[in-house]
Amino acid sequence: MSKKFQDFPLTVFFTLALAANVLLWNSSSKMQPRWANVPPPPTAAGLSASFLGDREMAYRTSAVALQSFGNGMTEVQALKDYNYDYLRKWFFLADKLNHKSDYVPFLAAYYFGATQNPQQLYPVIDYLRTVGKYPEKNKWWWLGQAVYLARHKLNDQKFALQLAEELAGTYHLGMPAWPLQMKAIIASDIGDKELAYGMMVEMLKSGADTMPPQEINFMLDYICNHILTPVQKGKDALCQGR
Amino acid sequence: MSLQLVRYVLMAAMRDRMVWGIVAISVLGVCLSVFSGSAAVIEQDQFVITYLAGGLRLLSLIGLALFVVFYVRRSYDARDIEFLLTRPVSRGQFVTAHGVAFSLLAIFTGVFLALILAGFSFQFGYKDGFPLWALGVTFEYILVVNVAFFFAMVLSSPVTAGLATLGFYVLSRMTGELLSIAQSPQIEGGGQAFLALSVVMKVVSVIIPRFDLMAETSWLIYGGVDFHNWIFVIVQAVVFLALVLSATAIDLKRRQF
Repeated sequence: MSKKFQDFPLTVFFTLALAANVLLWNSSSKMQPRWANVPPPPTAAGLSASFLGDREMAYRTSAVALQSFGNGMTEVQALKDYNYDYLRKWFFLADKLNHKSDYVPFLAAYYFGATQNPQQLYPVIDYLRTVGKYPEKNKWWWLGQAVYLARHKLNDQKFALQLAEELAGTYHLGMPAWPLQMKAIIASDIGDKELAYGMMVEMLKSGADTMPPQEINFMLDYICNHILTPVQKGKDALCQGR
Repeated sequence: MSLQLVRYVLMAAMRDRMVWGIVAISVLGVCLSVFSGSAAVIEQDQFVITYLAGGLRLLSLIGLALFVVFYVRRSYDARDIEFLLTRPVSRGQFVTAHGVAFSLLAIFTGVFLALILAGFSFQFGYKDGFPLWALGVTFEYILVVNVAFFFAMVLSSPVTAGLATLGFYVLSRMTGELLSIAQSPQIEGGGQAFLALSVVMKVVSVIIPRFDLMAETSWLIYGGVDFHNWIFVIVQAVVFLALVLSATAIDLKRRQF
């Protein structure tokens, strides 16, 4: 029997196997991975264990996963379709692994904060509110973002005022003055002009020695041209010449 | 200790291209880390350092452990060990020389990894925790190569010895997490089986080093290391190295050829 004929059954078997693979590909190539929304997060210990106890690696990897949720497939998902309750858990999971990084607060404020459904913002604000009170340098910024989301996106002025009071509590020398001024500005916006006036004047009294001149000018301008009526402005000693 | 024997092991590492393998995998790791880190919207430098430190640390360690295991088992199979022990080299000298040679390879790998990380860390301005991280990783490599040496001497299959070494490494990295679970109040509500497992874990942890405390990746970014960290890293390395080398020597002394 020639060698060519001896190999014939094997060649036929190989051709059939190849044909079977082509048929399988024809079916499997149409199967696309589907996004099943934000998954429930693992525990901090579980996630850390996945990276052999390297919490920093676990944090960075989960942060990139958060950034990619909903965008890794063939279609891009709208933020309003995300499960924000699970997102909240992911935020706090990341916070357990690393509370010094600004990466997840950044995603929460500027990416997930852009949802088309403002009612979903409560978990985001809750997270930013927590992070914003950490003593590390410049963490107050995230509480400022929480105030912004509550005031401008959620339109919940009372909640925004409450957050602004907490923001004012983080004030220390070296910070710009707006975190301190925010509560007075919101109080003025919601019509409580008397409260806003009192806050601004109190800030001027206590901070005039430490605040830069442009901040003092801004506060005087705000008192005279936004809080007070033209009649009140004419009578107020602070507004002389303004 | 026989310097000739140390030189012989180092030549074997060169012959097996272990050094070039470490260099090649490191270059690949650097490329992948820089590429992956660039996907981050902020703190890209921190992502690159984290991926580099976490990834290269593991890849280089696997390379070292595999070399040690396969070198020792090959020496057994080729009857090199029996031949060497017929020379005027005592069993204690044999273990010491191999321990030193493998440790030199670990130091080379640790220094090489530290140089790569130094290039990135110093460029990005993260300097505080780097010296201790570099020392911790080097000590970790020294301990793992000596553990691989021990398992390769004790277990006859290179696959089993390799897996035992990697299993030991995983356990050492996870000990902190496992102990925190074992000491958690929730374990008491988990029944007798959980309680028994937690006791087993506590007993096992007596002879398992804490690699999770040897080199924390977060040190590279946030610093925050103090005198106690330095002391712990050095003391743990000395204490555990003494244990594993003496265990290897005892096993070899009792072995009948």
